[in-house]
Amino acid sequence: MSAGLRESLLAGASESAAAPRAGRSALVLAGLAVAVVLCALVCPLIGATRLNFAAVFGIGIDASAPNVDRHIFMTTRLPRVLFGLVAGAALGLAGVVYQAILRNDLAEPFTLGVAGGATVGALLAFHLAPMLWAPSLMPFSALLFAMLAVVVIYGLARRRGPLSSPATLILAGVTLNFLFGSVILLIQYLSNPYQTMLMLRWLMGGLDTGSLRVAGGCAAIVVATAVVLFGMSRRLNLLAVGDQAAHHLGVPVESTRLICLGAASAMAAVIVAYAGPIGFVGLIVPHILRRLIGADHRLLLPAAALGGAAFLALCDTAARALPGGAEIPVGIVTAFLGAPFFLWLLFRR
Amino acid sequence: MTEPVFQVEAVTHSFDGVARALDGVSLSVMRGEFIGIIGPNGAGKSTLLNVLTGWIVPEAGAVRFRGTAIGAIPRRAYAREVAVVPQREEGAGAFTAEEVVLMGRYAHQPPLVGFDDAEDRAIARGVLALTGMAAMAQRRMATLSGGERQRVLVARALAQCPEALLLDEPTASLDLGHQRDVFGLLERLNQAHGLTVVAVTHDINLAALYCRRLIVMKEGRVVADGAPEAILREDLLTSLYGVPIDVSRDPQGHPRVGMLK
Repeated sequence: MSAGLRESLLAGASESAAAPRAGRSALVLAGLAVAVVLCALVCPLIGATRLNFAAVFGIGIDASAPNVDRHIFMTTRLPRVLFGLVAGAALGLAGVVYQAILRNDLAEPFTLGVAGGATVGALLAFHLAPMLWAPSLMPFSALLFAMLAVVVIYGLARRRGPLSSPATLILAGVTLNFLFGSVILLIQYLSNPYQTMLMLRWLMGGLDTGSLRVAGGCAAIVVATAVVLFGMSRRLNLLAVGDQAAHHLGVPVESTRLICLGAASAMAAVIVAYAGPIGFVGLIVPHILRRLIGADHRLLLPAAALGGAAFLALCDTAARALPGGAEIPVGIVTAFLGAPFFLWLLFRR
Repeated sequence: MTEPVFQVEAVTHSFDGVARALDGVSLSVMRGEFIGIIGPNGAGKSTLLNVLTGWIVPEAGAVRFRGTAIGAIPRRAYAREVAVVPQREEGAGAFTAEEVVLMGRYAHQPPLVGFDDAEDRAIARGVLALTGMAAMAQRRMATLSGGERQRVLVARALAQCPEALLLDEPTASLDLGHQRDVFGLLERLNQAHGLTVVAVTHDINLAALYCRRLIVMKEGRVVADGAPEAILREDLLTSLYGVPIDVSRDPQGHPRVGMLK
């Protein structure tokens, strides 16, 4: 029978042009890809010390003399920008996934308390583990505590009734952030002044921890999880409509939610472990892109990865290019942009 | 008749462990039937439908689709055979009508990513045309009226090219013309392709016009089951709803149910 219905539908269908938005979406994706490449090339040149593009690539200079421009570019600027691109992509993706699964456009790692959990995990490792082990333990500890936050939020979201409303979930995230905030203060109080200073600096969210090795390691994890998420993109569309709708349309709801939340949280936790909590990237970027290309996650996921990457790299470049050479941490910049945006989203409802 | 599509055997279910939403329900749905489930609020109609969709796993009893327990059928395989039209759906606002309809193709596509091919798009155009929504294909769901959204949901279910269609109050937000359009469409598909239709509805008169079998539920039990002409009697309906009810015949001979003041 289903074949009969299918044939009659195919026979009755008229020819029509492709959806009008398809061309525009392709244009937006291509534009974002170009923006990411430009960021990778141009952003490293900008900063307290202005670098000469020609000198960096050894064009028209004496090859035997020490090339200071090239040295700064390769050891400081490029790793930082590349790490920024990777971190931005991860935070953008995580935002989209949380928003789809929890059906809440205010959800992102920072507002849900996932970043706060990862922060506590990382700081605990930093405080408790021997100095030598701390750097390698921090990502795992961050992941553990991020998952803890996700389990709490997910448990609340699964409840039917008023507790699962969008505002309540964000309140739960705020509460988690209070809790994690006090744990962070406690850890700082118990640490020696030198450690406290390092923690404080890390808490502001910065990309200057990035060496090429860290950027590469994070990139590998982010790419792997991004592939998993992209494979889930069609299911995310259906889950964004509703659990019951997704079920009726053929999606195994529970396993899909677990895979997506796990992948997104792993991504966010790894980035937090190295860069500290950087807020609001996962809020601003998906929102703007949804306006531009619509709600289809098959396009939205790659767009959010590219857009998040370019956005964070640009924010960090702006932070570095401030007059006076202050080089403020990028987390401060994104919070300055993100907090008003969050309020606007909240009151627009 | 032919083989049963759905078999429900002694199904009992409660939501809070106290009141039984379903209380020992047994019935079979044959291939090509056009069934209406009627009854007062809280009779268990939607629960029964959701047991057939697999969304609710009953506490006791067996539910089978073509002889196989529903829980043992993979979700995607089941969605190729059985489509559901929900009463309403709030989460699709940001998607266009066409995107929502194409979601009906998910179970027919490769499980990962799954981009829509020419056939998917042709089927989407076909079902949008059938439901009279072709002109609004590119509109976002949030900008459509309740009735238009309802028709998109019917189109999405048809895009699944199912063997059986389960509908929960499919005409609740439709005016008379669109009620007739939707049920007329279901009747045509039922007759032309043998599509099995099971619809929960409050609208007894609409059910009397189109359904060839009515299942009447009250307090989680099936209290009557048969052709509309046999079922829609004044005594049964009066005791069912607790209000005086008058049954007459319309000019075409269908039962017409009306409440008395």
